[in-house]
Amino acid sequence: MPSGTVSERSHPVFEFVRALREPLTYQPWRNLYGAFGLLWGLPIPIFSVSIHCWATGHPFSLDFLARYPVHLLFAMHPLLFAVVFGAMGSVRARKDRHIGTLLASLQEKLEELREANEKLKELDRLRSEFVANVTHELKTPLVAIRGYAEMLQEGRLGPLTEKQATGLRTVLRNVDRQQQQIDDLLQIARLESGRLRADKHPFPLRPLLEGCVEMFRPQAEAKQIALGLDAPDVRVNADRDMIGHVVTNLIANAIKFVEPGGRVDVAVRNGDGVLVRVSDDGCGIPEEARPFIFDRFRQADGSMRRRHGGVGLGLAIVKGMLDQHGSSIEVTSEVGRGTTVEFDLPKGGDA
Amino acid sequence: MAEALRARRRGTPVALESAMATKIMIVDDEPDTLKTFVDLFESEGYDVTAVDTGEKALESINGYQPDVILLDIMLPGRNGIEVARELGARGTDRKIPIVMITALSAFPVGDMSLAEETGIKRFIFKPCQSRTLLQVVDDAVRYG
Repeated sequence: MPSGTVSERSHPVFEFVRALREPLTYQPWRNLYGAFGLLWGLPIPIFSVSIHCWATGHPFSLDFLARYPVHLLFAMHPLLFAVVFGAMGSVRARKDRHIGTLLASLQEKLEELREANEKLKELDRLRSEFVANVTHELKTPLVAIRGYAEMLQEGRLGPLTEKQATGLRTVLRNVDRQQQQIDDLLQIARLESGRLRADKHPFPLRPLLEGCVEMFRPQAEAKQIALGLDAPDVRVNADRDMIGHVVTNLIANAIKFVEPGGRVDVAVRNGDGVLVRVSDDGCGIPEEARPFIFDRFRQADGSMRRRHGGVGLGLAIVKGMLDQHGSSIEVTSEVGRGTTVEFDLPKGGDA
Repeated sequence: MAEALRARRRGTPVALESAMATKIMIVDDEPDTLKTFVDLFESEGYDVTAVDTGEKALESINGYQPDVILLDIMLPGRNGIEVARELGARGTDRKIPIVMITALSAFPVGDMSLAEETGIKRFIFKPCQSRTLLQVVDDAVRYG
């Protein structure tokens, strides 16, 4: 036997079954099945009655049917055929038509979805282009401002009086602030559009934290705030830059809200994961503000913004970045006692 | 560089000064930015040529023969990357190190193989500290 399966599959019965299983197109001629039934069924009783008449010598007439009810059954035969065939045909046709309409509407919906998707992609592209353009335009004037302020400060354009130097320091400090805010805006936009993704590698956490803490040392000392770090040698699997940004943001926040003489602590606990904690003994977060601390552009109240600066993007960025690591952030706070922020990071393997 | 600066302050003849000064070509379409950079590099003792489009840069580069090019990316007409490509394609200009600068937040450079074919040596973001910019350009001149 050359190929059994092929010969089996090409058998007319299977062809028929397969044809039954392909109800994908509307076949209007199936509505005519009833008529086919008549065509098939009609000749049989006529033929049988005429044979009977011929054999018995009866004349061929309709009275005959009345006299012999059995022949009435024969006469009904084509009707039966017509009804059964017709029903099968029209059910089949209706089913096909129904499926056909479903398929067509499905096709339509798919098309709509595709269009909507294209439109969204276009919108997303426009949005990121817009963000890029806006930040470009916001940054461009800063080049000249910063450039000339620095040249003046460095005495490249002539000697300065002490007052002028102080003024320039203020200008430069505010340029820094402006630039930081533009960068924050950009970062939140990129996090939200999913363009900024965590690039995770195992790295030792302690040196990073030391760097972050040391960066704030002068600022903390100027404000007479004690800055502590307690971290064992652990490796975490995370995006180094992002975690640096997160910790920097948290320390900056803590220092911002701690009164002179207070303290800010960064601590690491090694468990299933690695728990990083930044705690302060500052003013705390009022109960009613807690649900909103991770929202963009929110600070506890307007007066705080005036006192401490910032547009309130810091924690939104922190949350966005930690989301990228699949790690959760937890804030516990007591008004007047201080705030503790904790987040966990996955442990990193050996280098 | 310091000697050049001192030479300028002493009023040393221009020819002598330009013979020792590092020649830089600055390409930026923003007039104030261009002026800022020109003043910065001149105060550092560089010999500066400033142009505001990529086309002008490509035109004047053979006549000026700078030691380093500070090239903005967002330029009208041909952008900085295209200009750098064109310079790379010319072959003779391949040795001039290029420092790309942009106020964009990321360099629209697909892969760093670009750096080899174009002579782009450094990337820097605007606005940056003058000290950083001078350092980066100086590095590009010294170490390529």
